[in-house]
Amino acid sequence: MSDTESWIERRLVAALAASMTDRHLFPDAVPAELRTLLAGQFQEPRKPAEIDSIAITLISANRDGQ
Amino acid sequence: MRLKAIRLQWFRGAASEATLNVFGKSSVIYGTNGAGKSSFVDGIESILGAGKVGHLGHEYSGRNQEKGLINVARPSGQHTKVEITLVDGSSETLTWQSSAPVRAQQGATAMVRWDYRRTALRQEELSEFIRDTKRDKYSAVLPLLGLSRLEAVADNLRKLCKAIERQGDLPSFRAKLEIAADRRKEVFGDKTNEQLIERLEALRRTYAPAATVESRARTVADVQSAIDAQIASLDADQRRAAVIGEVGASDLPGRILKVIEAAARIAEVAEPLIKERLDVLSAADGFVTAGSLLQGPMPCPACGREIEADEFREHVASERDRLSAAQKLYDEHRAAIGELVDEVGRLRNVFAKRDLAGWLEALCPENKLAVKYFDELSVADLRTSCGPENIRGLQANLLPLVARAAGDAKAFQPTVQSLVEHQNEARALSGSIKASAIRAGINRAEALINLVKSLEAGVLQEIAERARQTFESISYDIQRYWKVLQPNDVITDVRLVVPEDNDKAVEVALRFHGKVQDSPRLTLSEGQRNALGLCIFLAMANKAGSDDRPVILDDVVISFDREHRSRVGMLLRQEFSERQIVLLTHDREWFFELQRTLPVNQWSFRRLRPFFSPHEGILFADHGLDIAAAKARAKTDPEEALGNVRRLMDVALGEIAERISLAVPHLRGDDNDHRTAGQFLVALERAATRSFRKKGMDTYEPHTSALAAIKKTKPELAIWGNRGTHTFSGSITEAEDLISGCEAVLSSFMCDSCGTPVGAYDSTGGKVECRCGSLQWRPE
Repeated sequence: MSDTESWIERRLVAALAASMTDRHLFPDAVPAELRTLLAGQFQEPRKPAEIDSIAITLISANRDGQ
Repeated sequence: MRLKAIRLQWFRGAASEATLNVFGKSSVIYGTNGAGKSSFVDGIESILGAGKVGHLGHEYSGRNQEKGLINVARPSGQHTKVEITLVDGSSETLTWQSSAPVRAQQGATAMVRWDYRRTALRQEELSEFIRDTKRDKYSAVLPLLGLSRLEAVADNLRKLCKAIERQGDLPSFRAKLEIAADRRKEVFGDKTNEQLIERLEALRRTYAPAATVESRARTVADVQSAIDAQIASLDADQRRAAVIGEVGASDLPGRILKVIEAAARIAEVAEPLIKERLDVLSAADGFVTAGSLLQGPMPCPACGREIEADEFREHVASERDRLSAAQKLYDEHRAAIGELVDEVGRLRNVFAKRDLAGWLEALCPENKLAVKYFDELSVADLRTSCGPENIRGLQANLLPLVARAAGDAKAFQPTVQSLVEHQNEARALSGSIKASAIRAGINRAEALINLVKSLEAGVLQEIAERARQTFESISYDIQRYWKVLQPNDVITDVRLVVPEDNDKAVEVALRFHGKVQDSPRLTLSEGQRNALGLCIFLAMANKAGSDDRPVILDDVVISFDREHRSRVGMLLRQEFSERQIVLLTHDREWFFELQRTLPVNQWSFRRLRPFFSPHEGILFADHGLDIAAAKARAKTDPEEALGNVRRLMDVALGEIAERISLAVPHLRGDDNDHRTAGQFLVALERAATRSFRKKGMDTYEPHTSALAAIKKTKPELAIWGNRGTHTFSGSITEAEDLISGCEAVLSSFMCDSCGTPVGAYDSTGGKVECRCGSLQWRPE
């Protein structure tokens, strides 16, 4: 695991632990999508339209697993 | 990737060409003030700074600094050009054809990753980091170790939270929840969830006892259908009464009120917000126009208060947050309108029922006008645009109709009243059950937002941890360098620290006589500040040097005394032997000291001739080439050849004097750096008896030919010095004689056997020799 992958995994696991509640369990697609974003396109500033599109993808992924 | 050459053409002090070839080695370049050393640093800065040079950023330098960058003597048709070549052959070029520079690149050059602030340091920038604000210090450190990428990640995550809120339509869902809660309270008061479930079960038993119980949503739908069916089976009067009751039970008044309240909240912020926004935008525009060189404190263009430039950034950040909050109000207003329009649409359907016809016929003329208004109202248009005028229309027309229906419903038979009441309860229960699903959706979206927020917090923590590690590492280097430069100093524990109140700021802390100081600005002298500035720059350059980029230091020892200048050489030798250093200095004494102390296999040494004119430009004092050039020139232009050889001797004899530690009378101030060849020859003649040449194995004889050459050339050079100053005349013979004499003088200090000059190596008893020991100069 590279240094980048390592810190992303560490922070992602911590964030999931902090935001998982009895009311909601995240589908696997959500952390997977965030992992990809953190390791890739989020490392450069993104345009608002790109962020909106990513938000829609995440909302959809979060709904599909329910 | 190391530097191979910097080539200048009509750039700053350079004429048709001035090339500093370093071939990947570390180099020391000596030149008197104005010789053109800094032109090479300017060249690097212009390449790294898209054609701009920081110290030329003033009102007189022209739009593209063309008045400062282009040599005033550039002939028409010639271009100004800077070309930097790296050892891998890649290069980057800037060419000023008219005024704006044109960039060209050869190969994938590593220079794209260089930044000026961690590549070059000039004398006037030495204490810049110390003078910087805490936030600017942080910005200077941030690019190290890729923290800027993490900053981008954190910023994108922050924006993603807002985008999820917006794209998930959370304001609209929250508005639906609010309406459902209001409706529930209106119909059921403070009844608990369990009591509501019991009520639903009671309604089911009454109206749909045979229906299968699958889910509450299904049960409430069954109950609503059963009630509708019962109403449909009533006689015409009863049916009309039920429909009137349905109209009267509408929560339209509550929904209109929500829109009015949301609009009022917007009105509270909108006008001052727009006004202040315009002020801030004007202020930002002013800042942009003024450029980035502005430093606080300065009057804030938005509020007139004296503030630091940093504070302005915070002002903008707070403005952004305030606008986001205002945006949320607009979202809530839009959601409230959505809910209102839904109810208007539902009433429209109820009004269309035939059963209501009689009631409508019997209405008073005023209410009939209201019905006409309702008939002509476009629900679709209302959804896209619902302004204050529309709200007033709904209030004036629909609310009286609803009120009239509610009043009329009170007089209906108990059976009908009960049906209408149960129908209303079923609708409220349906809204509550749908609200539960909406609540689950909101929870899901909020959980996602919390996840992204936690992730953002984690990334910010990652940034803080990495920054701390970077600061510790840089602090460790600074302390190490500081010990070399100031071994016995009372200033200790120099380090970069993150202030407790601001994690996006950095300050330099230290101990002065053991006492902790929050800033070096409080206690350090100028020399100490500059030494500290040099240590910080070198520590940061070291941190940024994974790709072996050069470190360029321009006249950085100007405020250092002799001992501390020596220590800079020691520092470079000890700590930067693996890096390419390009050192430019006007300190001849230090130059020759470095020539003696730095390893010749890693370092090269070049000298610049004093600047003569923009037409001649920057010239290197390379002896062999210049003597040969002077000889060739003597045939066609003896006056110029005489002038050239005299200037050449000014530099070359100074170098020899330094190398053999020749005692020369001390002059006042800068005059020590401007001695002429004649002055050196007088001192050399007086001391020439200390010059020896090897005779046998361990025996030496006086170097008589050196003395003879000096004796012969001294008067000739003195004569030409005077004539050159006053008459500018000289013959070919005079030029050739003087050049030959000068060549003989210089040759007598250069060993024929090993090709190195006397003084290049130290010997015992203070003697200095050439590498093979054939030439020797003894101390007085």
